[in-house]
Amino acid sequence: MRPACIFLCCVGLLAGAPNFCAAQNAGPAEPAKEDNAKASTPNAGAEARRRPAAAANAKGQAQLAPQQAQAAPAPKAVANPAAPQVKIKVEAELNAAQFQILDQFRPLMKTELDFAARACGLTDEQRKQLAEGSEETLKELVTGNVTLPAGGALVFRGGVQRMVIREGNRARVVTMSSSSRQFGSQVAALVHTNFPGEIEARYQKECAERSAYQKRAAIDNTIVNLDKQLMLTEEQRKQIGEALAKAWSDPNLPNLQMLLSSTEYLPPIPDNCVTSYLRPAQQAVWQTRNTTTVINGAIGVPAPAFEPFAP
Amino acid sequence: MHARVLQAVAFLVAVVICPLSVAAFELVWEQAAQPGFVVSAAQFDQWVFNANDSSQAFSQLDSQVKLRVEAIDRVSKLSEGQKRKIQLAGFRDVKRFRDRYEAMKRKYENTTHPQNDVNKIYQEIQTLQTEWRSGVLGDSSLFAKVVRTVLEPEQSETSDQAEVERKKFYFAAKVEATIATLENSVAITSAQRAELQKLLLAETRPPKEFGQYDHYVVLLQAARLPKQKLRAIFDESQLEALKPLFEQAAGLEPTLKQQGVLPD
Repeated sequence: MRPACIFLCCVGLLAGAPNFCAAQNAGPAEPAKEDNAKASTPNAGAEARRRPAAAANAKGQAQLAPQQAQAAPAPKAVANPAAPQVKIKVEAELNAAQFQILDQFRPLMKTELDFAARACGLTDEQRKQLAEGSEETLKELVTGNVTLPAGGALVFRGGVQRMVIREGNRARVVTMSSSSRQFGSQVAALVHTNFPGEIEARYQKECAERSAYQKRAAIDNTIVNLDKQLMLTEEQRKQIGEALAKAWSDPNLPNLQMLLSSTEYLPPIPDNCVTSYLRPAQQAVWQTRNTTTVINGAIGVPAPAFEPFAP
Repeated sequence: MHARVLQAVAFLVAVVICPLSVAAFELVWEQAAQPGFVVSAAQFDQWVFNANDSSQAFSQLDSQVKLRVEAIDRVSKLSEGQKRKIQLAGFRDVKRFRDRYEAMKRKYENTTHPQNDVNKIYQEIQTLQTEWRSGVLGDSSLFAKVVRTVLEPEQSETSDQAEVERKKFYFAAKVEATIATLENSVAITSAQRAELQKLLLAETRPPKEFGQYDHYVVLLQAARLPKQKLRAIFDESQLEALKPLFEQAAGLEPTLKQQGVLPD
């Protein structure tokens, strides 16, 4: 690298020298032009060297960023709830962002439809009927009045992406998680419309059993994390489990992924579900626990799923 | 004459001054092109404890020793001598961990390293993180060894029984979590869910140490179950939907082995 720079300097100077000499011979009329020529070439060389440095610096920063993210994961943006909202008008054609959301939603909707079909014992023809209805529902979902925060980004909270959908006077928060259950209310509406009566009753029974299982999993894994900190007895695990089952309802369950990804994570737990069952030494630890747990930058709060459908 | 003087000056500049300035510029250029990475105290603690400060973590460890001794005393009725020995062993484990933590922190805190060394440093610090997460008072700790030595046979039996119940509860919770997670991507009826739970509880084993990889340990073992057992529960389209999840778990196998969580 150094010999090349020396060569460039020499070439620059030598290129300038004859002009300068010519200027000396020509007289005072032309020095400005040569000065510009002389001035531009060394700077051009320096500029050429500065640009790779800037690029390398940018590359270094880019390399640093993911590793910094790995090492010290940057907190995900938490939308300011008071930020002004920008309403996106209904468009006849889907725009690029809507297509992207539709693509994300389709496989999840497909899984939820599959669940409905199995729960209801639908025939192929009935499955097709449900699927056609779901495509319309999805399109309405992404082309309807979608309210996003001012920056255009979707809401992030607790590490879960959310979108606010307006339906007339009602606002619904759709969790854009990886779970197909987020479309439970839409599919329930389709089942109600297309197959009311006995088929719908079968579907609702399966949904209730699925919800109960999800709740059980969330409670038991919360108790696992609690037990690691408090060394609970078998009796205490049972008592606290029963208390949490009464206190927690489906839309407000703790995020299972967060419970699994860190044994230190504790969702917000009502004191009265725990304190009265603990011994003094355990109570002392319980009082000093972290009330706000940060997992990969996200605050450990439960992530509501969706409002249940009410026909 | 003037031209010759000018040429001589240009030659001097080109041969003497320019190389010096180029060398200086290159030095600055190289430093600018490779920004160093500084490991701050908060960064170090974040890597080890997932918190910006270690004081809460060590306070938690001290509480853990007391609670563990109390838990064993409750079921096994320890003498004062036994309690003291077990407690001392626990505090020794905490001190050993703390010494390792402080030595490593002294080595890296507020030091600048080349960008390329970040991963190497993180992996070294990760050994502390693994020990913290899997339990400083785990099965291979001095605490666990002293408990095994100090307790009388009947005391050991009751203590072990309580521990077995605890692990059973943990494992059942992780199986539930695995099935609940599968249902994000695969439609499963309640009858299939019950069958799957029965199968996983019977045919898979708990991780060696419970931690953040538990459901992957269960999922990996589920992926290795004989195909006919899974076919007895699921149809082809469901098995097809399960494939990517099983492949994901299989991809994590080297990590699970490295973390020492896979059952024997």
